[in-house]
Amino acid sequence: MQTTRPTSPAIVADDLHVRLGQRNVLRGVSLALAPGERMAIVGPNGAGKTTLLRALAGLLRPRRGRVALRGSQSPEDPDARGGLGFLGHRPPLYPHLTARENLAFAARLQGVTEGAERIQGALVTVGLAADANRLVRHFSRGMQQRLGLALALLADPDVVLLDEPDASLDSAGVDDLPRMLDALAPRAAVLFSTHDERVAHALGARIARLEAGRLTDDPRKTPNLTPPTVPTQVRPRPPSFGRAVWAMIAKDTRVEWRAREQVPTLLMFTLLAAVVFDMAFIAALGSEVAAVAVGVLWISVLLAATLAGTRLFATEYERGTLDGLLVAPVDPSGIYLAKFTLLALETAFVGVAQLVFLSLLLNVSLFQASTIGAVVLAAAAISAILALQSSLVVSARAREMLMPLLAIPPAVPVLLAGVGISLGALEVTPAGQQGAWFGLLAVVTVVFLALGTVLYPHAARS
Amino acid sequence: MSQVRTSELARPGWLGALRHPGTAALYALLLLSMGLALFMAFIFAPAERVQAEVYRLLFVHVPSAWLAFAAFGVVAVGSVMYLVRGKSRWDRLALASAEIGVLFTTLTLVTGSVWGRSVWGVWWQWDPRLTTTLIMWFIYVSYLALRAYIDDPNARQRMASVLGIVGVVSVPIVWFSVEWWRSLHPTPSVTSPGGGMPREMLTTLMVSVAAFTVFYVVLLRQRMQLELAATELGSLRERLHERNEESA
Repeated sequence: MQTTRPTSPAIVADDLHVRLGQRNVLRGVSLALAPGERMAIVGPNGAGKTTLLRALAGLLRPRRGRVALRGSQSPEDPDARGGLGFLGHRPPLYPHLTARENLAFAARLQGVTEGAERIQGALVTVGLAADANRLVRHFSRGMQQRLGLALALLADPDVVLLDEPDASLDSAGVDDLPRMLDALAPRAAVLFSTHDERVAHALGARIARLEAGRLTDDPRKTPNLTPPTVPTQVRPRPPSFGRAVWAMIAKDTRVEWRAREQVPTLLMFTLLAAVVFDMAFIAALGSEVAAVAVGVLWISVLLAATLAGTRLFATEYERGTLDGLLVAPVDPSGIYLAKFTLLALETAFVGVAQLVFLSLLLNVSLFQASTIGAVVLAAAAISAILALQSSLVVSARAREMLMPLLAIPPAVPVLLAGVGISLGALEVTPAGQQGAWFGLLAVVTVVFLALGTVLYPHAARS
Repeated sequence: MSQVRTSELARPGWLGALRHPGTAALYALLLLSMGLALFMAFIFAPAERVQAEVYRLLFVHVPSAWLAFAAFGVVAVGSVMYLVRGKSRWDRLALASAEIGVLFTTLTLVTGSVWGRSVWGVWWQWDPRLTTTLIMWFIYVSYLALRAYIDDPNARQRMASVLGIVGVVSVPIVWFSVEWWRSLHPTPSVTSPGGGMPREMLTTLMVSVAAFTVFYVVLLRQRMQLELAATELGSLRERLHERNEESA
């Protein structure tokens, strides 16, 4: 379906100031691009090209100034990101998914209908049709860059931001760039950074020079308001919140199934914890075996969850895929909820496995309905806390050291409730208070889920 | 070079800050109120019937606990305002208040422990009030640790603000712990009707609370100014660096 619309600028930056650390990286950048226009930002290393593109994509909050997409929409508005194609300096790819699966995940987040058709077309255009079903971890850097381009252009965006799209491409790939853009985003306003002015000329882009955070030429940066109306395709409607969260959970589960990075390690960790704690408390095992078993169960579940929680956002951050999630037309709180669900599933699985280990090792009947229920609910409570704390330490130094300090104190009520329920089930203490302990677990879960849903979007755009 | 706002602490002379009439008045009020609180705590208030003299720790323990709660409340307010408004002064308020809150909580725990040794015969009891206070202390120590481990100021301020809001959940838990669980800790004798505290003791306690409040305000103001001075110093260094780059 084709429609037309007036030529209000597709991208506007107005007096943009961005500060990173103590450094003013952008110092009053103003520019505007008309729909369909292409502009290349050239400049030396450290000039602020990447920062400018990230600020335009809404990944950085400017200290001063304004960004508007499609006339008036802020990039912080999920709807505005529906027609945004973004490729940072690292393609946001999941190494344990195939090229096709990476594209399919992006299509689901972008709400692309006819995804399979569009994905096949994109793969053919970027020259990866023959490698569509290979895992991305086996791709060369150049192939990853091609796939990154396909991801950015998959939803027929009308605003495209590319950070050095020619990086890592062979000469044939660089020559192919104009054809890829023409085929996949023919109507888009494209702003890209490059060190090679020949690329800018090949793409028919006007050139703006950025030096020390300022544009040195074309100071008012009025857009070339080319044709009075620009044909464009109706953008795909962003997916519903629930669908987006489900897509992220399914992606994380598939990645874990392939990579087997978390669950097997956590299982071994909890088994090891069971053994060493039992050995440490061996003197007490005569009379107090049930109490020791319960203590070991809950401490090891908490430590295992903390271990997994540390990696929860860090993996996405290190791969550059967190940027991919944040530029998708999805409310960022959906990312928090998806991570919470993944961690809760892992923690519950490991906790139930630990019930079996300890029942066997200590000959205590821990495998009871109330204790299993407590493990599952406690997994949710701990994960609601840890998913938020994990997002806070994502860019911190010594993240692994910091995470337990942040995560364990607020999780103490969960530990107490878990111990209370388990001891009641073993009749070490009267079982009458179990309802109150379950209530406490439910309250902690609800409070932290609410806090995480509201606060994560604030943490995400740092 | 444009004018840079210079913080009060950056003025020359170690007593430079006192040249500001408001600051001088605040310091005078602090000396006066603390002097009065000490006099009343040690001389005016009578000895307690059962505990004799050791109960006088109450006049430090209770005000520092209350001010710690207030300080953590201010952390939450500063954090919310920073996330809403994005102005660094709100973050400076949260940081300063968190540091003072941790200091006052430490004082609460130490005085409580010394009192416990005398009255209960042990330095520590796994009592709900004591345990929840210790957990609250850990939460705000982790708030300060998080700030220390994030280098980028923007990220540091936003992440800390989120934690500053989450952390305040611990305050009502500590406050109500003596009512929600069986506790050895004395129940509120000031806020509950008919708490039974003699008038002299109650008056002394209120004066101590007032003195600690002034102490809190003085510390808060100084710490915020110190942070502002540190930020200004960083900006000046960066501008010097930029100027050197431009001249090179």
